[in-house]
Amino acid sequence: MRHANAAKRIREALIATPEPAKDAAHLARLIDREPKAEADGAVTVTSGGDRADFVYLTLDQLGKRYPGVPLAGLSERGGAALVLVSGDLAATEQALGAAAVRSGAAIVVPPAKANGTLLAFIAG
Amino acid sequence: MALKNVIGIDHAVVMVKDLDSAAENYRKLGFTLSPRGTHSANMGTGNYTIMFDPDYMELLGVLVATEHNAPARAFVERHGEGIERIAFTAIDSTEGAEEIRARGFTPIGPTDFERPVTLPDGTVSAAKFRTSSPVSTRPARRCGSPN
Repeated sequence: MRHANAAKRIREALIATPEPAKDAAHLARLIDREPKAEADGAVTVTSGGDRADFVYLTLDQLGKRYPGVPLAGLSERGGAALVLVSGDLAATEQALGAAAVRSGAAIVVPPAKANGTLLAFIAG
Repeated sequence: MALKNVIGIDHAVVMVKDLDSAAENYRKLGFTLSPRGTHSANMGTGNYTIMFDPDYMELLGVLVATEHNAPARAFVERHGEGIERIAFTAIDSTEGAEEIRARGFTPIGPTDFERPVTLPDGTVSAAKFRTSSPVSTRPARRCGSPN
């Protein structure tokens, strides 16, 4: 299935939580993986093979990863965002138009414009 | 170590209030959506999938309120729209459930369900699934395999 916004796959599923280490450890125990602490305080748990990773982080940490992106609509705890690999960021930017904002190297649709889910497109 | 039957993220489910208007929104964002799927009368839900490789997104909405979809409606009531669950690919969901049980968690299921799918030639077939869910995780994580 081809997408005008050039989305190719999910790279990360970002889960908001006030307790990233605790919740990541819970999932890691469930699926027998090792959690990995990131420099910004988030904790990553790989899900397997070439599949997307889980990233547990606070809303504050999420905001620092995507500066300038309003987070209205996200809960303190729960699935917050998907990081999608784009095959062509120029096509992504054109397809998303005014719905998205540039945030660092990513093109991001705020949750208020994607039914409660922050969508961050990154180069693949 | 890693589980033998639960091999990674399969799809992300975005729970929405109005399924068709959410689908229109995602089309405007440049996504190509599958035709709308309708689950059983008991489930009372419908979905659109956004296929990638090797994973996908699912827009899921309640079409008719039923006892079965009360948790989905409660989720939207409590949290609003957004990611309601992340599903894993399971090579064998029954075996995967046993692996999860062996790690001290209590799975729900396996549960079988299906929905009709219209094929490109116009004929109607069925997509069949067998899933199980750990009970004590947030958000819900479902392990599924084609049946």
